[in-house]
Amino acid sequence: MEPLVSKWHRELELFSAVKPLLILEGNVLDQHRYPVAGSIPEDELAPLPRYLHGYLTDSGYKQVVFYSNLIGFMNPYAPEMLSAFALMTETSVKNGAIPAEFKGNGAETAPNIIRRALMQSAVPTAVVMELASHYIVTPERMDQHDVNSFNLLMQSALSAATVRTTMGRKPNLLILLVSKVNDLPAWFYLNNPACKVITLETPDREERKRLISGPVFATFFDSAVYRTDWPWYAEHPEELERLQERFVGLTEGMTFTELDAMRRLSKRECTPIRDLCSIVDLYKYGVKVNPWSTLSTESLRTAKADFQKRIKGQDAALERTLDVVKRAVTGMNGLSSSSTGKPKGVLFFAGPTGTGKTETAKALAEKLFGDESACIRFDMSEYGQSHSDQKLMGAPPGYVGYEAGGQLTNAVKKNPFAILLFDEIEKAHPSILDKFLQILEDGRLTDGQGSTVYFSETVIIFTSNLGMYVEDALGNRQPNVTMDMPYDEVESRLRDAIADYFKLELGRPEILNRIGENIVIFDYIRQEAGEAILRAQVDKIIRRLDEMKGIRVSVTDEAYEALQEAALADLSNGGRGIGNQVEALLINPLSRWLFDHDVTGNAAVAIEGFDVTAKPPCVRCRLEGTSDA
Amino acid sequence: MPEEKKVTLLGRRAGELLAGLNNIVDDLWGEAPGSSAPKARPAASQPEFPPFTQLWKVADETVDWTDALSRERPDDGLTDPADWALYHRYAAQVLAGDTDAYLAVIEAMQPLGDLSAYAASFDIAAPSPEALTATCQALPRYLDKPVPEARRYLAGMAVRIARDLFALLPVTRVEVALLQGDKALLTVTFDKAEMMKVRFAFIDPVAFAISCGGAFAD
Repeated sequence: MEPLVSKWHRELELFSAVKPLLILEGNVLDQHRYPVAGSIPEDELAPLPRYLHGYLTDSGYKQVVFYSNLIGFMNPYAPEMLSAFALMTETSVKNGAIPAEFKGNGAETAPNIIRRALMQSAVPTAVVMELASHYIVTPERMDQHDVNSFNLLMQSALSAATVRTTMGRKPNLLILLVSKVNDLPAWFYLNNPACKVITLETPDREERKRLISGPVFATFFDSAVYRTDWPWYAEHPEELERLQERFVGLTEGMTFTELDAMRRLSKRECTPIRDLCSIVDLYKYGVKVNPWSTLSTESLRTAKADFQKRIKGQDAALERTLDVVKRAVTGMNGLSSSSTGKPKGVLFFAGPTGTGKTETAKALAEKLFGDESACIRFDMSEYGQSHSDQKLMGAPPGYVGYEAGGQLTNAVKKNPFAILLFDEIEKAHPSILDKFLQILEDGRLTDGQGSTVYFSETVIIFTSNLGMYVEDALGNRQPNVTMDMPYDEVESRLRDAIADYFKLELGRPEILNRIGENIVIFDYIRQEAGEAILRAQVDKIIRRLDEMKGIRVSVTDEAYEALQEAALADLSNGGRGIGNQVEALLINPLSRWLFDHDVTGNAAVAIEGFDVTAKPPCVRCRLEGTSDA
Repeated sequence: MPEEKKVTLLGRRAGELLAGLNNIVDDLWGEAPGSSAPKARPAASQPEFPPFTQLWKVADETVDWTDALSRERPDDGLTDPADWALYHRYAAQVLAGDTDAYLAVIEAMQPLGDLSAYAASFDIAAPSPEALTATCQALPRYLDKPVPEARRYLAGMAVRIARDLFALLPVTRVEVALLQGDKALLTVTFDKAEMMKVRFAFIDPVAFAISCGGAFAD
């Protein structure tokens, strides 16, 4: 295989020849893949200090030492280099290290020792300062000793000597490893001509692919499993390629250390080659069986009919919703992007109130995960303040509520296979939308406690009443859609209004882009759907009275028509409005009648009429087998 | 039918043998209540060796053949480089299921050498890439005990032999027979997948051997 050299390694090669001060920031605590055979075998993972030791000695540096403010100067990989360094800097080795404080400018402090090492021109020397983020509290709270130390380091780098070697001229090097470059004082690296900041990222797609290809692939598996499974994959390279590609997609954003941990986990668990990707679930969520993989095609085939039993009059919206789910189940999600770590599906439910948006989310949770409670609802009207993101994601260390974590991150940690329902999203503070953007794009969030929460097994549903009203020229709210409009017009008007909201009002078109084509518009509850909802509710009441009390209730056709006419007189409040009417016109009057007539159980009651204009409304009933009314 | 190839293990590691003998003495004296006989102690430099009542609880470290295939040198700092060189040399053949390579590795590594104090005449064969069979002669000193203890010895040995062989080679089945002369005292076939689920520190080896289909002679 061709050597694969990471971007940061190329920068290191380039700038170590011309800049004496290099700051390596970012993914510095991770292991890294050594790109070419040398002191370290090709493609072997090594912690960054060992990697740098290998690279620098391979490049002709004769003295490489590491500095930690807790230990001093050391070299665990080549102790003889430390002895030579001690001789050169007129220091001495004690217990395998040259002790030296970081603070101050005394002769025996680390910055002064480094200055002596960098200014000599006899031996090409590199000093690597590990965990340099932690030498000072913060750049804003440095005392004069801290300032002196960094000043000395900067001066040392600016006047570092160049050494002639058999491999060309080499500048003596000072390399600082930091988590973030702004952990250092800005004057140390900004406008410093001797300095180059190199950012180390998590492994990119190509690097992850390399880690799962070639001879290393075998190391993901137990020997017996590999011996049994490999011959088939050797004969079916296209299947192997598909498997590797999927693994590479699922591991986006993970460090080499995490990938290596998954490799060992897979081996320990004797994972068959075909189940390689399940190890990602095991690593992220601690589960081997992903509920998504156990969903049967048959169950999804009947999903629409099952949904229609619960949600009336929303065929177009249900079809659209199920399309997204089918795409997730068939693994087509993310085909158009490089990342498969994104949520399984994103839906934006919009439309009039009481039309079944929340009910659809619950039905989906039951269909996908076998339990309505897998639908986790967040009422976004509770997250309207600027600091509300801390409620969702957790407060940072030192703030009140830090220990409790975030409501969203805790919920997903507890149940990574869930429908996340964000109700009335337009009421959330705009700063929360940035967090959602990250979830939609990367499929993960880091909570206040620093642990990464993955959303790649969730379906995210936003609901909104956006677009139902618009403001006229005078700022008055006017209905944007009305019941007498056909569905197509309602859909088109609401879509336009939602787009205007994100693009013009919020100024965040990128959010609209992430939602993409997944806006689902729920229609008004029309007469036919209203009748179906009413029938379902009345039947449910009759059935439950029979089951719980043994009271068999029947409704005459005339009475039912009267009830229907009254209950469906105003459909603008949707199914919830019908429910309210059923409660007012049927449940309350019937309860009153049963109580007044001392009917407590085991009886048959016929409802013969409704007086909907009475205050309060009444029912006319008769006990079966009597003439009592 | 071609003659089945076998490896006979000689128990060449004298240090381990000596340590094993010391433990046997420990075991034997330790089991005699009120005994005041002096106990032999292994020399300080010799490795710790489990008494036979603990045999099934420990096993050799698993050889990582897939790692050995991809690396010429060990990267864990723990594996003997000479052993690793042998693994690397045979890795491709072993992972291809070459039974001749299995036997060559067994001969070189002597996986049951440390058990020679507890049984004799070890023979190992590889009838297929999936399976190994191991036979050995049980020692009379362990059989001249009450039946439950003798059975515990036989089952413990069988489990230990299987664990060591699973650790060495990528097989999925190991059949172990402990013999007395020509008579099989215990024959049991262990399945690797089942073995993987077991926490050996907590099992009764007799019950486990029986659950794996083991049959004790009367």
